[in-house]
Amino acid sequence: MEKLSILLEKYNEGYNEGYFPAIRCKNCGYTTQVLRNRCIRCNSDNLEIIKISYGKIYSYTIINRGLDEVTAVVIVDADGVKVKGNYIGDQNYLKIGNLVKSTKIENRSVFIPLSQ
Amino acid sequence: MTDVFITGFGEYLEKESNLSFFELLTNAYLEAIKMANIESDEIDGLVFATTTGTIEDPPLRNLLLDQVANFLGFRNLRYMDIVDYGGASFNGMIYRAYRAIKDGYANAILVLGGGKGTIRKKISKTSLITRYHSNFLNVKELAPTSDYAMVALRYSHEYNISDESRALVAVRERSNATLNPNALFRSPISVDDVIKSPIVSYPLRLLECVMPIDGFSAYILTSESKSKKSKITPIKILGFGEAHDPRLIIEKENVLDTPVPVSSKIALERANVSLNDIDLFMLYDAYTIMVLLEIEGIGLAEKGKGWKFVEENDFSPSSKYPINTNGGTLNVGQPAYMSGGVILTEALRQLSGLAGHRQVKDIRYALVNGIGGILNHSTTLILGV
Repeated sequence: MEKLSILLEKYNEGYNEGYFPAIRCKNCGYTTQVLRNRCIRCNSDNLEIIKISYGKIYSYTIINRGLDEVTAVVIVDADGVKVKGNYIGDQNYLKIGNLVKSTKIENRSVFIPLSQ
Repeated sequence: MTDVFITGFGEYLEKESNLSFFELLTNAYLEAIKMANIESDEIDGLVFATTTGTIEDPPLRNLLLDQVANFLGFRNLRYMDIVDYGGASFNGMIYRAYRAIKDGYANAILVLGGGKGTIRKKISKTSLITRYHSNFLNVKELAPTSDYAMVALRYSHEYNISDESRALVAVRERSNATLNPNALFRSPISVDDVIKSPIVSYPLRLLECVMPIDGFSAYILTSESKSKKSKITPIKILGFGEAHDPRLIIEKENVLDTPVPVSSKIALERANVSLNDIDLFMLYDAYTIMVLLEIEGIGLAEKGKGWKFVEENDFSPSSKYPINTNGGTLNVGQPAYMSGGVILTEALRQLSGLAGHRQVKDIRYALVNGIGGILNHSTTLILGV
């Protein structure tokens, strides 16, 4: 079983490249954004890191109070795998079902409208 | 085996207290033993819950249960426990205390939960719920509020309802709060007021979210022999159910799935009562969306029709389905980010006939549903007199 800290380094490479990383079990296919060094469905440690680059907005919120700045969060459905990230761009584009892609802005991965 | 009763309860809440964590818990405790009419040295068990960040620092949280027991002066404890699943912990604590007495480990247990929500509110600009994976989830957010906001939006999307339908929960609860002299917010509000209140995390408005406050709730459970001294009619614990699904919302197939149907079904079956027998429903209400999901999860409405139930029922003490008769934590405030104590105490107050102008007439059974985390934990308690 790979050490969690080593897996985290590889996982973070995805973010460094402007993607949203996820862990996919090579044994059963279960895929999740949640970092673990074994599969919670089949307990296999035969895992790979995949890079999610686009998906559909499953839900979203715009946080107006409590943080230093107005912040949009999206849950994106990428072929059945849900990933959470921040969204930057036109707030009118934030609608359930709209397509978004990942990109790197200010040194971190975020989602933006697909057509942007 | 002895029967077990809740024989005393106490609540000490302040919007922002200048008392310390330990002073606050003591005040709630003293009120509870006064009602139970027992001496401190009769207490032989302690069950406790708090929230990280709601205690002055120092002390640190290590050996916190020991520190609480020491401050209260206990020296003959035979049972100690901590329950740690957020707002659902209160019902869980009551059941663990009940079991310990039932099994003969203790005779009089203090259940205590709370903290200083305003400490955490001041120091933290980050999410309240951060977990082992916070180092990899590369997102600026304000959980639990932002997660519940996304649940609320998804609910509106799937069932094609408006923000106004969800806002009506806040209106109903406020209407009940007008009858509660201890509520923080007591002026009647309209759906329009809710919709026009500032957006905290879209689509949730300020009037749909609890306010963190300071304080503790305390309960005394005793064996039958000690229960006779109580100043109230001892309250029976008729049924309890708990269900836990600690997955993050991104790992759920449907973010609207909750553990509520499981915990409530177990509790009702164990109590051998039906929903129609219940005279009062105290439902966890940190956010309006939670109440809709609980109304559906418990079975008062079909899935996706909770909002319709709220349109047709006004929650009032004299209605067919009294809900959150004290105004809920939306109007009383939420001590230490856990609403579970405030709703449980109101159920006990009602069952004891101490609810004043908002008293539910001829009440026999109350259902209390607690939720913890982001719809991760649900505990249901059926109480009766």
